[in-house]
Amino acid sequence: MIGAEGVVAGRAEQAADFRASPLPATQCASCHVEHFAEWSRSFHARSLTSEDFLKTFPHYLESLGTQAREDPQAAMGCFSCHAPLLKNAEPQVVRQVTAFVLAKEIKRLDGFEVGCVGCHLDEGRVFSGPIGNPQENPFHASKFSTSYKEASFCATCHMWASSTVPCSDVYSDWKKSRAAKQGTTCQACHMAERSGIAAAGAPQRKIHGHAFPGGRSAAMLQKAVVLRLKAGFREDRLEVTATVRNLVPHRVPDG
Amino acid sequence: MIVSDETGWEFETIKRVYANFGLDKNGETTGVVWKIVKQSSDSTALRAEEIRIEKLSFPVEPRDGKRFTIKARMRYHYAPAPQDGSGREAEATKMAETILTIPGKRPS
Repeated sequence: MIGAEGVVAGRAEQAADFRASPLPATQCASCHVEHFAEWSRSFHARSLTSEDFLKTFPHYLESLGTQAREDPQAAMGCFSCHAPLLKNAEPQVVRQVTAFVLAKEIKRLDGFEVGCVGCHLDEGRVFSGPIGNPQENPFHASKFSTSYKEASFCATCHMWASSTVPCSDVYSDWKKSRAAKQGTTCQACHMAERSGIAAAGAPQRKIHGHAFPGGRSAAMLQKAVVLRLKAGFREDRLEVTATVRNLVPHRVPDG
Repeated sequence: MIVSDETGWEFETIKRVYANFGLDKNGETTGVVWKIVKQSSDSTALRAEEIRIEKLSFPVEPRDGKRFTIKARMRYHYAPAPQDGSGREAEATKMAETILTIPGKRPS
């Protein structure tokens, strides 16, 4: 009889083969030092291993029924955003990653998270991004795409993307907002622009933060709302009016 | 929100919870992500760019103090408070804080 550990170990090899092919983020780190360091601190880097995800995923599968643990389509309800590389994977690889998540085998999930490839791999080994004249390099071809400057780029995951697991609706909120009308995108707040180097040997230019700060960032939370007070006595009571102004173009809290 | 007098005596604390709820497929309100199929009208989260006015009334009279301090604090909780009867609050991060002072009429 093989226990859960044996099943997971037996599947590790196949998953490792798949992971080696589409480039885990660590392979990008030697050239894209700053971006990798920021991304490593982000929730994108923990899309499969955050406490919340590890807790929620088994509950979600349970809610679908007893067969869901072995059904790659059920797991893809979460993985299509939390492990985007798996969209191109064979069903057995999806089953393996499902087993790793359920067994909380965090180290074995390395490389499956929302990494560089999930957003930047275009076709073959062509990587696209928001830089107009990307530096030539011996490792991969690079392509400019305006889509990285648009909020719709984030919509793939940050809206009610699936009919079965609608866990984020930030983009739909933003679309109706004043910020959207003014052209303030998700990237403007969550990928702040600065001067820097996109890759080793590349020129100084405008680059974007890859830490994706949000509800877990004290600095972001403190920019999100303004609180004002007015008070006065009315008969024998103190009446206070508090005005809470949400400055952001999506719900607070959200997600 | 807390109201206190010039000695630091706290009269009362009033709380408001802004939480994000959804509806499950049966139309029941739920805070559980994998069950949510649409936004619940019961959600108390601040809507995008919303200005929310809260009117709060405290049983405090001018003669109760020489000076009153009203302190409003907004915190972001990542999870509900533990239901272990300890009264502890869940991990939270400060979002905003403001203080208003108004004179009272307590005789010296």
